[in-house]
Amino acid sequence: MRFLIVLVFVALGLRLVALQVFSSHHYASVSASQLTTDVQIPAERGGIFDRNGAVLAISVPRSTVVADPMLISRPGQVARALAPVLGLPEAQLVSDLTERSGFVYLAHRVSQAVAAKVQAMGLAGINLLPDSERVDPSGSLALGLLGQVGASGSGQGGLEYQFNSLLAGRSETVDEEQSPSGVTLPGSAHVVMPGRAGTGIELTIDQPLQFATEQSLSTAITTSHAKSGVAVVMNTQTGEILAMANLVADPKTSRVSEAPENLAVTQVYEPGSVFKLVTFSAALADGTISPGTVITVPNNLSIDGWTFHDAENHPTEQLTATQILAQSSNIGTIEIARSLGASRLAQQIAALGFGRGTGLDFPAESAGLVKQDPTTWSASDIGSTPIGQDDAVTAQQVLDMVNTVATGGVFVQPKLVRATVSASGSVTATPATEKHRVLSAEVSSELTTMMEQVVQDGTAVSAGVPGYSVAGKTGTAQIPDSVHGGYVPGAYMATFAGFVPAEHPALSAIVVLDQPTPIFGGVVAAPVFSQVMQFALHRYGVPTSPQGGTTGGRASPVPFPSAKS
Amino acid sequence: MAPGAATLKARTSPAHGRRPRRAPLRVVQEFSRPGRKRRNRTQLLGLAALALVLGSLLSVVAARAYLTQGQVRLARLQTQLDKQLGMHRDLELQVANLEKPANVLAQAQRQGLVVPNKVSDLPQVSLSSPNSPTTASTTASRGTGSSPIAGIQQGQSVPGSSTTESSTSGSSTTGLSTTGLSTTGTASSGSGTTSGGR
Repeated sequence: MRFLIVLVFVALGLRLVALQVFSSHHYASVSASQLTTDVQIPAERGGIFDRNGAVLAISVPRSTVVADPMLISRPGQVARALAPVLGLPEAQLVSDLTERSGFVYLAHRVSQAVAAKVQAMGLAGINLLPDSERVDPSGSLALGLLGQVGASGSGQGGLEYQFNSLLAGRSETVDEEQSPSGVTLPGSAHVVMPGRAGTGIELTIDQPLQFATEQSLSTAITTSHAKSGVAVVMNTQTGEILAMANLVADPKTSRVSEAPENLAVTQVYEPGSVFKLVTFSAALADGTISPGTVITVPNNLSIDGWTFHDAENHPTEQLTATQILAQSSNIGTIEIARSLGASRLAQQIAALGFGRGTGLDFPAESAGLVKQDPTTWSASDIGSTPIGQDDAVTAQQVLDMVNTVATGGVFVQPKLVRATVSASGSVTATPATEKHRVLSAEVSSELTTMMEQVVQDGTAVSAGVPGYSVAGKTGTAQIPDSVHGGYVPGAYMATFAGFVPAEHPALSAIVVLDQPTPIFGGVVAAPVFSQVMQFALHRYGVPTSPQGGTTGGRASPVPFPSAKS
Repeated sequence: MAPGAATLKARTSPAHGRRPRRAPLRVVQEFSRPGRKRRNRTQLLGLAALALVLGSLLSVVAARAYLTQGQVRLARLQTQLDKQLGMHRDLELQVANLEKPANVLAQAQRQGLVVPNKVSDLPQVSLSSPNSPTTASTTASRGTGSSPIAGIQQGQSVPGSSTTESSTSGSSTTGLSTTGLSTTGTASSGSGTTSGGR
C-alpha cells in the first residue's frame, strides 16, 4: 500500500516536471495566445497648417464601436439600447449582433461624447477601439493641393500622400490580457512597440489669399463658362507659393467646385503666347534683338508648308521688339526665333525649367512634354515652338519662368512646405529653396520693361492694379484634339502670368482658364490676376509704385473682401 | 583542603573512632540539557522563517494589489487625458471653423459690413517736400499730399490709411460656401457715400 502511494506521487511529480520544465514554453504560449491580444493604437496624424498657423487639416480623436456577437446573449436588447446612441436602425444592429463571428464593426468614428455613452452602458461584448478622423475645417479650400485621407488613415493624394510617412507617425503596439468577456485585465498591458505621433507640416499657403484667389477664379469660371481654372501666387524672392487654386465647373450644372487634383502641376497644356518670353529672353541675351529693334512683320508666314499668321489680319508692319511682345505678334516672334535657331531656343526652354519637374515633387506632377532635342525638330517647329505651340507645359512651369524675369534673372525653385511641426509643437524650417541664375540682370530688366508694355497698352490692360506697375504676358492657345488630331475647334486655354510691382517685384502669379468665353487671356485671365494681386498687395503692405504705376490708372478691378490681419 | 572539612574531622574523632571516609563534598555544576536547548532554538528559527515567508507572501500580495490599484488609476487618468485631448482637438476645430475666411466673410456681411467697391492707395510723398507729392493718386482719393501722411517715407506703404469708397450700386460676387462653391449675392449698402472703413 505504501509503495502504491509512493508510486502515485512519483508519477505525479514526473508529470509536474514534464509540464513545468519541459513543456512550460508551449503551454505558456498557448495560454498567452488565448489571453493576450495585440492592439494597434493609431498615432495621431500630424496637422496641415497655413503659413500663419491656421488649421487646414487636422485629425481629431474618434472611437469605433465593435462587437463580439459570440459574447452577446441577448442581441435584441443590446441593439435596442445602442440604436438611439449610435443613431443606427435597430434592425441593422440586430443583424450585426447575430452574425456568426467574433468581431463586427457597429459604427465607425463616433464622437467622443457618443463613445462615452456607449462605455457607460457597460454592455458585455461591446467594445470601443481608438480611431481618428481627418477634418478640413476650411471645407474644400485647397482640396486639390491638400489631397485626402482614406479610410485606412493614409494619404490618398496631394500633400497628404506626398508627406504621408511624416504625417502618419507610427502606431503603438500593445499586448493586453483580456478576460473571456473582452475586458482588459488591469495592469496587463505591455507596450511592444512604442508609437510616434505624426509630424505636422506648415505650408507656404496663406489661407485668406487662397480663399480670395479661389473666389476670384470661381467668378471668372462662372462668368466665362470655362471648364476649369488654375491660379497660383508666388513670392518672387523665396519661391514660396502663397495661393494655389484649382477649380472645375460641373459640365451639367456649371457649379464650380474644387478640383480633385492640383491642376497647376499635373495638367499640361500648350501655353500659347506666354511662351514667347522664352524666345524674347534668348534673343535679348544673345543680342539678337534689343527692345527697340525694328522688325518687319508680314501678315503671315509659310514654313515647310504650314502657314502661320497673327490673331488679326494686318498689312506688313514695322514693329519694334517691344511692340511685337506687347501685341503678341506670332509672325514677329517667329522671325526672332528664326534668327536664334532651333538649338538656342531648345537650350533656353530647358534653362527656364521646362521639360523637368518644378522641384515640388508633387504627386502626379508632370514634367511637361517639351521637344528638348533640336535634332528631332521638324522644319515647322521653328514656327510653332517659339509661339507656344507643340510643347505642353504646366501652369507652375510658366509661372517659374515669369518669376525668373521678376527676380532679375534668378530661377527660384517653388516651395510649398515652409516648416515641419513636431507633436510637441516645435517648428523646424525646411531648407531654403534652390536658386540659380538663368538670365542676366540686364536682360531681365529689358524684358520687364517690355512686359510692362503688355499691360500698359498691349493685350493685358485689364491686368493693371491701381497704384502699381504690372509686368506680364498673355497667352491664348488652342487645345490639341487627342482623338482627331489637330486642334479642337473653338477651344482655347487663356493665360495671364505676371508680377507686381514691376520695379521691385514682390509677387508673381499665373491665371489659366480652360475654354473660357471670350477666349483671350488678356480678357478673362488678366482681370483675375488684377483682383488677386490687389488683395495680396494690400494684405502684405507692398509699397505702391512711383508715379502710381504705369498701368494702375487703367484698372478698375472688382474688389475682394478685406482680410487684412 | 576546605576549612569546613577539617572541623568535621576533629569533632567526630574522639567519640566513634574511625568511620568510613566519604567523598569530600564539592560544589556541583549547574544541571544542563543540551538536546532540549537545541530543540527550542530550532523551533524558534522555524517560527521566524515561517513568519518571514508568510510576511513576504503577504507583502507580495499587498504590493501586487497596490500596483494593480496604481495601474487602474493610471488607466483611468489615461482615459481622462484622452478625453481632454479629444475635447482640446474639438475646440481647436471649432476655432479653425470660426476663423476660416468664408465664415468671417459671412459673419461680416451678416453684421452689415459691405465689400468695398474700390480701394485706393494714397500716393507716396517725398520727405524733402511734403507738400508736393511725388506721385499722383491713382484714384480720386482725398487727402493727397496732406499732412497726415507727410512723415511716411518714400517707397513705404500706407497701411490702413487708404481711402475706401463704398459702392453706390449692388454688386455680386461668387462666393465659396462651406460646402463648395456657390454664387451668392453680396448686397452693397448703396449709400452713395465716399468714405467708410473696410
